[in-house]
Amino acid sequence: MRWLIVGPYAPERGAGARWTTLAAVERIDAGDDVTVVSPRPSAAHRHQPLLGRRALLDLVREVGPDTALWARVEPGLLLTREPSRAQAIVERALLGLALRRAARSVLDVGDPGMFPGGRAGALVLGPVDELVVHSEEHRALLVASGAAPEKVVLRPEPDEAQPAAPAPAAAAEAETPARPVPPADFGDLPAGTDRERLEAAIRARVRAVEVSRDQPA
Amino acid sequence: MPEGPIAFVTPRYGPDVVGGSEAVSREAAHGLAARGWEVEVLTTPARDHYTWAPAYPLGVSEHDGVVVRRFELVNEQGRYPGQPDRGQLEQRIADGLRLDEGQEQAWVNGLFRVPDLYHHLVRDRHRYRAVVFSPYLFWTTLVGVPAVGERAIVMPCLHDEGYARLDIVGRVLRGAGRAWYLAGPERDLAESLGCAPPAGDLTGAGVDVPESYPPSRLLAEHGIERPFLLYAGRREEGKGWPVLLDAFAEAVRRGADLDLVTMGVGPVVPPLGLEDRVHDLGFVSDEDAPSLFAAAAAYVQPSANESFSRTVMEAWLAGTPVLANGASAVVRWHCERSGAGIVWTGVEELTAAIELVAAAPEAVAAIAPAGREYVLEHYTWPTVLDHMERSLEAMCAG
Repeated sequence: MRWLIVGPYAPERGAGARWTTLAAVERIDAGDDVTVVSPRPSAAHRHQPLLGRRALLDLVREVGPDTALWARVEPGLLLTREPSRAQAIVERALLGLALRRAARSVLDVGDPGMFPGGRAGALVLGPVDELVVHSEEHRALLVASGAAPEKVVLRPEPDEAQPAAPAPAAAAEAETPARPVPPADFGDLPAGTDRERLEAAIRARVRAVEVSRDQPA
Repeated sequence: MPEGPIAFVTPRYGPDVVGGSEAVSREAAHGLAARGWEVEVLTTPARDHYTWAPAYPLGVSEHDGVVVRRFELVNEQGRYPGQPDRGQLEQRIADGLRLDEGQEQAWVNGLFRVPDLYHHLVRDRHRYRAVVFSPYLFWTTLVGVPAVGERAIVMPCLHDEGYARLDIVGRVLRGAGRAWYLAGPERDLAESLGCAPPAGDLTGAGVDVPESYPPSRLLAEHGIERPFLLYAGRREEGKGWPVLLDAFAEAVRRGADLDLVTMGVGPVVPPLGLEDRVHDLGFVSDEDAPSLFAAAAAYVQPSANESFSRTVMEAWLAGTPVLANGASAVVRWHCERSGAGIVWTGVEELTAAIELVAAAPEAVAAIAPAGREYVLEHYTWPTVLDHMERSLEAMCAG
């Protein structure tokens, strides 16, 4: 089966990218043909704006009887964060149309508040085949909004704790003004002089140059 | 023991690609293949790390028993949506400033991406017994390692620089199964920055030992008649090239009768009045390079950002002394262990070191033989491949 997978993607961090990436890995492992679209440059096959009517129309066009859809939805991803009532209905109707057209459909729901009970929510919760949530609370909210309980799958969030990074270090630069200096005199350095003595000769030369610069012309 | 090939993942691959980590990956891949391991290289079509323009054909080919898979590179140089451009991010990193998550993502994804390579790793991760990623700071490693997890070996080529302190670098490297370090200070740095994988081996890197060092025809072709200092590598600020030019110009001004010869890539831009004393040989073949190392009065390593310094080894093998930037813990470590390199700090000491080469060449040259012995003991390919094989066997057994 061909899957269109939509959402933030590796190497991004956060729940959205983690679940989208996992969805792609699981379907690739199952032998499916996967195309990933992310809202920003990532390891996805392509990136494009994923918000509002135009993005949803693109989804409607791209899915079909031979293409399944897996999409992460959260406020600001596919669906506008604080839509007007009309905007909410139009966006959910378009998303619902994409879900109906797809060979199979899965929505990974970052915030069940996007699908309150009533007409707008039903436009999505009706046609979708599977709703993935990540807490019992979210499952209960979706069911209360009218989602069929058998469609709602719970996949708990793993612990995302990360150790703090070390503090960055500052860089420093040296300045070297060019002035007349005395000729180099390394004395008697025969073959067999070890590296420490050669390095000492270099440091002595640097000191000699510095002293000459400190003297009046 | 798991079956399947070893994969090497590197952003650029090819005999004419200039870069230390790329060379180590290529030679390790071919060395392991020659020992009977099944080896693949997963890479891009790019040769040039400035433009990342495609230079090799996409697809699968085979070179001396190594399967090479080249995946399309998506060049993202330009503005990343909603973030400062990459140059500003690079400056913040160089200044030691922290990047937030969005800025790190913009930095990782804002140069190039290779989505097909990522999905190949996801799809085929169980087919490979191990996947070796190098170097640490490119998309191929930072995005590829999490795709294979514990099967990842990172050969990070880590430097003490701002990139090494990015959150994503620590997170990704810690998630690999194992590290191959090229030198002791590199391992110390990884551990001190908290970005060391749970296991690590000091493999080093190998250097080919030339059978002979015939007189170089390139010197006559370029009209080089004076004794000369040699620098091989990228002519970039990050590699210390401007410091070398400044020190050389000052030493010549003080009377040092030497030329400066360089081979590699990047703009040379000799100081005013020294155009006839600085010679850019460009890309020099593996056949011609050893003779240049042997003919030099000294090899200069001006870079503070070294994780191994292969050119220092090539100079020592050729019997040539080294003037090494002590700001590089790795090169200092090699010089102190071998006794064959003069360590300098800052442009004034490098200037004096160049004067020393001009004034007392025999005394300087006399420390070099210990360098050849050091390389032959630790850094020939048979020795390094033995380390890598032991590490692979330990990883697969564990």
